[in-house]
Amino acid sequence: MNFNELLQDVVQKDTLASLRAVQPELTLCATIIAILLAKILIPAWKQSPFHLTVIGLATAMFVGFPWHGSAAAAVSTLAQPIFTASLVSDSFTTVVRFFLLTFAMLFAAFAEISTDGEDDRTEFYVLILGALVGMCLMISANHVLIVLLGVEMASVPCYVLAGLKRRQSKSSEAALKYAVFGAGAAGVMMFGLSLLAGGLGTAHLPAMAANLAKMIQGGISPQQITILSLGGLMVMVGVGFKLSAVPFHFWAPDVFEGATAEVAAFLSVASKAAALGLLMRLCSAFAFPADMYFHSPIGELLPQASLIAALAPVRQYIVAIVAVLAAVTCTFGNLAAYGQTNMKRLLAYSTIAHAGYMMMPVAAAVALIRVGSDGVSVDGARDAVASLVTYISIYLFMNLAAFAIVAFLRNATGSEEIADYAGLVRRSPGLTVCMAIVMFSLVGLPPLAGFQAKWVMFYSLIEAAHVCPALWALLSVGLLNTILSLFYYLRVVRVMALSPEPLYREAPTIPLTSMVGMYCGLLTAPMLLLFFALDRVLPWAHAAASTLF
Amino acid sequence: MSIFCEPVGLSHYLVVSAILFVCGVLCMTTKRNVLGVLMGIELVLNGANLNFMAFGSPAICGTSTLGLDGQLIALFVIVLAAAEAAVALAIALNYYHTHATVDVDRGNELKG
Amino acid sequence: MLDIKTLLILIPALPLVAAVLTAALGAPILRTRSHLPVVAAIALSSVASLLLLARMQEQAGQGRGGQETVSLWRWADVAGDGQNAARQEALSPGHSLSRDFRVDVALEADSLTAAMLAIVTCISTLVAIYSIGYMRGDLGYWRFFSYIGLFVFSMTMLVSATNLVLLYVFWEAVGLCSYLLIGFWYERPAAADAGKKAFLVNRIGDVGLALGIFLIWTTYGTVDFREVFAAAGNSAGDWRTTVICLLLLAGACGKSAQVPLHVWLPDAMEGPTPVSALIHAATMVTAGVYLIARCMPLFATSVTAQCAVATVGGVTALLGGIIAVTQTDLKRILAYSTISHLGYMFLALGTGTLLGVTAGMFHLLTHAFFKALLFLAAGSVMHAMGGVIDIRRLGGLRRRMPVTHWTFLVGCLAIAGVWPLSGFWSKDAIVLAVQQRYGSGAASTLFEALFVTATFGVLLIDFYMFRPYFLVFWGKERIPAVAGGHAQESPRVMTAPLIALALGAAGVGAYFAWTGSFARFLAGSPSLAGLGPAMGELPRSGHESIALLSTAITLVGIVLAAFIYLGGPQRAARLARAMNVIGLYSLSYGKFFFDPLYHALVVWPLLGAARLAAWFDRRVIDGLVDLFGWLPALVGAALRPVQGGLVQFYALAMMLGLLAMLGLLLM
Repeated sequence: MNFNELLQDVVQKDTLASLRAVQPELTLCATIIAILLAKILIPAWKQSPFHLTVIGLATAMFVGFPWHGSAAAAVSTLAQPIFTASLVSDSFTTVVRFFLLTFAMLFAAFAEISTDGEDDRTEFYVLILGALVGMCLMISANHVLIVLLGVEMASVPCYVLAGLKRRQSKSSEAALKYAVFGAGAAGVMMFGLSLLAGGLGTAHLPAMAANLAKMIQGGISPQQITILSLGGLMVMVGVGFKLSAVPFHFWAPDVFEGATAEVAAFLSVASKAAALGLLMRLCSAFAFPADMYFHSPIGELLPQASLIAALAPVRQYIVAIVAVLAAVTCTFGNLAAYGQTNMKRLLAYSTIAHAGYMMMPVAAAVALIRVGSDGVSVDGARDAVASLVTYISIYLFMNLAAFAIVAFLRNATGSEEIADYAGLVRRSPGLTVCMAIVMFSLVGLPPLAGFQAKWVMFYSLIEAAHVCPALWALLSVGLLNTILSLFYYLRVVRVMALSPEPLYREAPTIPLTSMVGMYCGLLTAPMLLLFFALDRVLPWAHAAASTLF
Repeated sequence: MSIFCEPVGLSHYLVVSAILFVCGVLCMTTKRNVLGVLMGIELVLNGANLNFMAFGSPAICGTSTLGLDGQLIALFVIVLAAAEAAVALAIALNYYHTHATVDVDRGNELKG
Repeated sequence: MLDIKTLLILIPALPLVAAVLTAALGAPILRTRSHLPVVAAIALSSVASLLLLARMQEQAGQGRGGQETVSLWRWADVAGDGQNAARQEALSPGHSLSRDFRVDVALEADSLTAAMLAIVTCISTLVAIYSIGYMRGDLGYWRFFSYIGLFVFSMTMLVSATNLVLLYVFWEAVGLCSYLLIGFWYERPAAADAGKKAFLVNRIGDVGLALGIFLIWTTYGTVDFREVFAAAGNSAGDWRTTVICLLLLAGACGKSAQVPLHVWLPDAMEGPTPVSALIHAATMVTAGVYLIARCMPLFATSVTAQCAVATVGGVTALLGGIIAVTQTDLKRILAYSTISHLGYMFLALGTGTLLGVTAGMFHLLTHAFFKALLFLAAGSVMHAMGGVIDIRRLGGLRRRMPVTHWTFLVGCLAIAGVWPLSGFWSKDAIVLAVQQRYGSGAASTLFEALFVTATFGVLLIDFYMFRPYFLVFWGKERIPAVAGGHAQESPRVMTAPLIALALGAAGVGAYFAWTGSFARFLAGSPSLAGLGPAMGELPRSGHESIALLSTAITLVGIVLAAFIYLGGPQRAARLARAMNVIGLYSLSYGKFFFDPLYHALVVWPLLGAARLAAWFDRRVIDGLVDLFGWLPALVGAALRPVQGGLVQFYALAMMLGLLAMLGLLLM
């Protein structure tokens, strides 16, 4: 193979095909450039780049629409390694990316409504779009380098976003804490990745898993185990930071309180969804290195079943870490949410708790990969991943709605304290009902979508517990936490609905017919609709899960 | 059989990187000045870089090597570190504007 | 042309529509004309019932089957194990195959239903017309008529239901109407309490009825009357039938105010007087009688059940009579009288013979007339006297209120059973039925005792009815101050129904007794079809000896009452002292102390248990819940300092977490 042939091969076979698979990301990049160029070239253009953003997002959604995600043509697209297998394009990527883009679209509308007439919006949208690109990389990562790049690309814009209110000391403090903590966590993760990649002799995730399996088959030395498990844990630090899993969550409450509600909404949903996608990617790569990932440069195929069987201890390791982190995160988040007086801070702990819930199906999925004499069974694991994707899709609306209402109320009252919501029901009954629905949905009460999310998640956990009895404990922790969370969510509703209006000021009047009210209604409606129409989401979720294992 | 008696090999690189890592972490957790903290982070990243370099070098670790991947990742890490540092320094500057100090422990408005 | 089916639907539908209409339009539009839809609808209903009666009689005359069924819709349909197998098996009790559970909303007309419909709608019409005058000016005028319409609908549905479940629904519905109407003046604590009491006491009976229906379902695999009767015929004498009958009796006792569940009826007099007349004298309280008559094929197979019914009836008849003698509230006297007369009906049904059942139903008919009459007359007095109803504060009203006086007198004579008024015929029929029963059948000793009781009860009736009559309408004129200037005869709209009812009370008994058509007509009902050999004609003039005996007793009673209460208060006082030698007066005046007894035995223990439970709930359960709410809050508060705001500490915690995980892993 001479240089010319190599070039031909890379450019024509790989790059062209790969570019087709990353059209949404390219669109986002183009949008960023377009916004920046427009700002530079047209100095008179003082308007918000909202429309450009929306056009870009709509285009990205269109080109990235998971057509194969519809029930009829599920799994028509197999996993396709792109860019010399450093990324992977499959249903999981497309579906989760589509959810992210949908969220970004709704988020852009929310930001436009709530920050009408403020400056800095060019930066705001550019940073948001940049972070989105990073998140898309995270969910399609197939290589250590991409993991690093994705996490950094998603994080760094967020540091800036947190400090966007430059004049506010809280905002700058939040940004500093976020940046310092985030950089530290990223550093630890990079170190961990270096250990993992070095220890396994490759930086390509499935190949790393294959090498690991071979090492396990051929006998592995204790030093290697120490290095690898330490590396694995350090990677978990980085992912845990993005997920705000305890004890890597410390940034979250401070940042959520210091940053604007808009930024908090973005961090709580998009950042978390991407982190879960990355966690799922890493777990699936190490737990189940499927054939289709073996187009690596060193691609040497081994009998798959024996490979996967050899990885059983790795799976136990992953399940143990993820399950413990999930249980601790969930419990800590819920407990710490008690006694919070700031609504954003309460929601921060709530999102921490939800991160814990959402890690549970990951543990379940890994536990449910079974290697028997009759081959490998992954149906249960697929269901678990589907439950995670379902949870993400519902969580997206719930949390965005919660933060949106917080932002709208802040615009009306200038306060984000729960106590200042007293008597809201008298002035803005519609908004209060929306908030109550969101809160109940976050608890997971029927007939709201949050219940369905928890239901599918706990169901997959029960399935997994049949295989791995230790997960019963995780299940009971999850259930107990659901009850725990009831109290502090209800407290918000109680203050809004039952507490008397304070004497010194009137509660804000936000009718449902206003722009703001309609937006809240738009976000709250899925909470009821998705409860009854869950079968609209499930095929997508199953399609997303089908290519992961 | 001490590590000091061996010819320089992978373990030596790993030890150095581990020392860098620990120094960095200590720096992160003890320094009050934000610049010090950022330097600690740089140390950690450099530890990682050293690892990537060592693992990527056939001369050091023989056959099972990361190869060019290691070197490339190291380059990327340097770039990422620079980007991160740039943003972090900008944020620190802004912090200085609002708090008139770069001591991170003075920012304790957000807690609980 | 209106055929039977159409009529059967129209009879309940009209009052329902009127009730809904009144409820919707009463307050905003109809206001003082709120009575129009309901009165019109009930009147039309009564015309329809009479037409239905005529049609039924016509059919019976032609020898065609005496029943018609209209199925409106299927209410419940739960498929069992096997469609056909279930049907087969259903007829033999005691198998474990699960059967289809079907409840149709279906109405059926047989002679029993037709008779009940006619009684209910006719009395309702007259009472509704009377209410126009009585309720005039009340704030809840439209509400009253809406309730009345609802009641008539429920009651007519109750008596025409084809299955027990439907019957139960409307059994509860009439109970609800009763509750609403007793507590009609809910701002009065006594009325609200009385409503509550009626509701609660009725619940006890209703539980019995519900259990009875459950047992019928498990035993016979159906709740349809006709299928139940067919199945019961195949399994005569089963102990389960006896239990079913006793449970049904419990239900009937609650609704018809029989001992020991009679305590609610006297209190129910807190409601408006027309309600007392309609619901608590003439119609709703007879639902229990109807239920037992309807389920006669079941009762016929169990002598134990018959004895239970007869004993309950006999005891109630006697007890009600004794208590009525000493009460001073005219409406309460009438209430106890109602209890006593319902007891007579139960006694008659308890004989389990065709003669007995027809006598009981006949008494139901005549009683409906004269008791409604007496209540309405009492209401007329009350209306004129500014709400005073204590007979000790009234006197000599016969000149001021001639129509009321005369109609009341007719009612008294009718209830006392003076020939040829209606009470004479029906009461004699009952006494005769009891006499025949002990002459020829099982448990003759019991029925002999009951015969004596019944005969003695007749004396009490005369006495307790003529006592208020003489006190209120004779003697020195006494008018309470609250009556003010309007102590005069009630308006025409009230007296007209009184006169109509008086005519009925006077004539209806004689008419049916002479023609004997009532018993013959009733005997055509499938419920009464299996009651042994037909008795042929009912005795036209009663057994002479019975007639003579009861007439003699009646006269004695009336003369005694006249002697005591026309002569001045000291005679009555002397009698009371004489009676009290054996404690009878106190016992009667204290209503046999049922209420205190129930308070001590049921209410207090329950209240105590409830308080205990409330305490347990508040202190222990709530405490646990609070703990569950507090503990996390406490832990959360303890956790909050961890988030100290110091970013170095955050980094430290991160590294410690890493170490902890490593430690966990190495373990």
